[in-house]
Amino acid sequence: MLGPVNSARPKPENENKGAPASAAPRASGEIVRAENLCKSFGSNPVLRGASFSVMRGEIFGIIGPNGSGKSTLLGLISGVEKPDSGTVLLDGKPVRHYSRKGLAQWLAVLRQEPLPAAAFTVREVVEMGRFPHQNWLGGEPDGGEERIEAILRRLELSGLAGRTLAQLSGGERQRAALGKVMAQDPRLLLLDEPTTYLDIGHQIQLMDKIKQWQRESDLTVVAVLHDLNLAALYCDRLMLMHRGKTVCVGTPGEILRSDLIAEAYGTEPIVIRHPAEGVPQIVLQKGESGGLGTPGDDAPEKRFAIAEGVGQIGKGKTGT
Amino acid sequence: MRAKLFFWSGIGLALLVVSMVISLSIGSAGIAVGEVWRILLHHLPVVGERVAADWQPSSEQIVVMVRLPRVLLAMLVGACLSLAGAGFQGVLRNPLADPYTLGVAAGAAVGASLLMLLGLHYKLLGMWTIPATAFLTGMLSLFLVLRLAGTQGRFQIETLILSGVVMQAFLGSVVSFMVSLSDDVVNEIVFWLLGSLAMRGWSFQPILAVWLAAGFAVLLAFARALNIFALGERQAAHLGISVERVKLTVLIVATFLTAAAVSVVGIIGFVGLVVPHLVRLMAGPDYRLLIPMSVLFGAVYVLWADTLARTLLSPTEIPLGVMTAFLGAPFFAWLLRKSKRMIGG
Amino acid sequence: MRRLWLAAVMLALAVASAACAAGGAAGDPGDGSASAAPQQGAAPAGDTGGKDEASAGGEDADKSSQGNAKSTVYPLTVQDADGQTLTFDQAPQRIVSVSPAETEILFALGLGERIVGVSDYDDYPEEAMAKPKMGGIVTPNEEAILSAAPDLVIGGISLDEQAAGRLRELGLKLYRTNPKTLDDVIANILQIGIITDAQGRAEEAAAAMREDIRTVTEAVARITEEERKRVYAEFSPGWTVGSGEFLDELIRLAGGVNIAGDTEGWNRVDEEKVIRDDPEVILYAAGLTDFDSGKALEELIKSRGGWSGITAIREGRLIPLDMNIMVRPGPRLTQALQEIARGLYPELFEQ
Repeated sequence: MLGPVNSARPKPENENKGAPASAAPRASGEIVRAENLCKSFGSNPVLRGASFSVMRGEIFGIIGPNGSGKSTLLGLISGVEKPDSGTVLLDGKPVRHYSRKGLAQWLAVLRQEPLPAAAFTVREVVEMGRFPHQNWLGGEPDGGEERIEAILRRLELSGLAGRTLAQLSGGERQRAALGKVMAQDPRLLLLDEPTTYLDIGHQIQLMDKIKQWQRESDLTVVAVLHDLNLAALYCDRLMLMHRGKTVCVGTPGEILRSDLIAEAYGTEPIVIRHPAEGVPQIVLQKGESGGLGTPGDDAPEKRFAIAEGVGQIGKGKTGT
Repeated sequence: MRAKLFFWSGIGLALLVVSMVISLSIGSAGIAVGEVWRILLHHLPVVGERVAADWQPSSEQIVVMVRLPRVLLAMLVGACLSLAGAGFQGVLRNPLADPYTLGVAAGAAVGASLLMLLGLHYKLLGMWTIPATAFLTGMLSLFLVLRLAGTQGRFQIETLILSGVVMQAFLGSVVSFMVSLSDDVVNEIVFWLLGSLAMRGWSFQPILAVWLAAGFAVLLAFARALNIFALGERQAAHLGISVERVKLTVLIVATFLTAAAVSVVGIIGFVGLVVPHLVRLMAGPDYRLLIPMSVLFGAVYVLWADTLARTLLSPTEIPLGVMTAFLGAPFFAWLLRKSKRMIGG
Repeated sequence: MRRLWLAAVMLALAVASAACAAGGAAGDPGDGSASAAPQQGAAPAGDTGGKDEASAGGEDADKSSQGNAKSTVYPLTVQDADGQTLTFDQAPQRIVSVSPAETEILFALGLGERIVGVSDYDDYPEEAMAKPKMGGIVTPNEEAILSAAPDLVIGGISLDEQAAGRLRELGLKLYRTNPKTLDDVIANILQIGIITDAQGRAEEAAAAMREDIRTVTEAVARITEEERKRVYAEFSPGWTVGSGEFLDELIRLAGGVNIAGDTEGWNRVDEEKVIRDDPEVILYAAGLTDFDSGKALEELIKSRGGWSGITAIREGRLIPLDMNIMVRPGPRLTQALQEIARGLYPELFEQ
């Protein structure tokens, strides 16, 4: 079993930029810190000790097979679920110390389920994102009309603004959901497999918009992604989870290794290097015996090097 | 939103005023319309002096002691039930939800039936005996449903609805049992259940008005939260809404309104179901509109139902519940045909 | 949003102030009508309504006697069956009756012209059906009654307590009766006679009823306990009547034994019990058809499973009776008594 790799080097810090006046400067720049989180549903242990930390301003991806506890982890971070043991610190404070509304003012969640076919228009849905910032009469100190319009423009939703959710396609609805989340004006964005129901075009579109937004507003993103290639393309650091535990944390280059993937997922992909971006991408291989590989199998001859350039795929010496 | 609010409020108020005018002017006693209005004007503080009192004392009695209170009571009851219906639909997110879904009407019926079975329905507190008791048993049944459906302070919608169905069925059978025990051939309990606003006088309007105002204020405060509920409870939680607290508060307030109305008028159906849907169809799913409009249009609906109930076969009265169902069912069928999309909202 | 609150507050205030205004006004018409009633009573009838003229008015109303009948002295204070005290300054001239039995009594006392309203169900005598309708007997119509401007409203055994309270609240003079036995009915007739200053006719009616009772009780006096015929009464498909009701008393007076006498009030037929008790005579409501089966009541009774062996059915002793006179606590009740007695013991009443 491989132990946690702690050699992850965080991206250059944006600590001094745009820190909100109300927050005390954090020495470490950690916006999320999770320690030894455990959670069971009934007799089923889902999380068995997950620990990691997320730095302000980075895009942190969480990957792992089904049942590894990724979504539950997000639920614990966002405060809608309580851990059986372990702590989550958000911006230095335990998550349960925040009121629901207080938390919603700087933490937003984008889910994988598309918004239901409600009779509300796109504009109304995006406006709902301002709820945490509104007073009890529904008003805001600096009327958010322009903000809503800017968001609609950015997400190319202006033309659809008057349509109801029921009249939109899946991709459009997820964009509307993104608009709502943007309107919330968070500092921390949690993504729970948001691309599941989208085609590749919409997937890229969504992630591009998120990345763009993140860059512009110094947003921190924690994204649970099932698509490893997307994760490698967009995330600064990745955390691999397996059976409720953190396996390792590191850059995509450090995590997307065929041995690690094989161990966690039970299938061994070929790992190549993205010709344009330079990050590792996986290419799936059919299983030889037709079943999932058993983790713990020691078969060094099956390891593949990260091939340089496209086309040079094949068995070769293990090079690191 | 503001523009829509004023538009629909205007229509609702106009409709309400016209309905009041018509309803006050007709009844079993053939009093001329002009006389009705002069009697009413006579009672206004300043203008009243100018109107000469040249009518029969019985006419004044009828207009002021029988028709006016009844018109106001019908409006208040309709407003309470529609408001409750809007609240229930917002929380339960089920298009078939109405104020009776959680069994509160059946609970109120148990209290009223028990009193009538024992012949005590007037003895203890006069006119207030049935309403006070029915209100208590109604709220009690809500308490039982919440106990049945709740796990660790959380209430899943499906479990709530099922618990309500169970409670309704059980309490309904208790009421049927009491009906069968009741030894009158002309069954008082059955008549109470069918609903009526006759013979209520001025006793209940003040307290219903207070409940309505309070319930309206609370539900309106939760209007935006109820809008967000349409996106799902998880989404609502992520936006900072204390989901369980909102659910519980809205349910309790809506039940309060329902119990208050039912304890006075009996079980009249379709008001809490049809009116919010109707408003939704006309004005959209936004609860900031839905709540005030439900109040206005609910008042109009029951006012009309009651006016027809007391005039169609005058002097015999048609039970009010029969009338609301009679008006409501075809209307609801029409609604369903017209707007299969909208009801999802 | 602010304007919304304003609208809501104004609506609430409007409702509240309307309630208060009318509530405040409620006191006035209430008092007004009480004092207005005697004046109104005087105006339409054309009689002079003063206290001094009471005796003269009384004699005018009493057509049949020439001065040996008693006349009521006003002001008169009485208590009704609910314990409410009513005071009459003169004989009521505009009477509303929401009880068929009491309507019959009023007509029997010759007061037909003073009746200004009857219930929907009043059908005897014929003239009653032509009177203005006032709604049901359980909850009559307030507006109709108020617009008839009565100075006396008579309610019967079916009147709902709450409705009674409400009518009193509206300032109407409600006299509620609650006769439970035949003697109560006779006393009722006499009392109404006193109130309406028709004592002569009342005493005649009472005397006639007592005579009817006497003929029956004398005729059946010789029948011993064991010889008393067992009677089963079905006045509505599936329903019989037990103790505490008129029918039970009439059966007893007529020399019969009500097999349902061990039960109380109206109750559903226990078919097995009837077979066991084996009645010798069955009384049933004439002209009734069972709703569910569409059969005439007589047929329904005869065709019940296992009843063919019952004595009454074997011997064909099923007596149809006009149910209205059986259940209405009015002057025709003794007529019912006679019909029952004749049905039970035809041999005793060969006349």
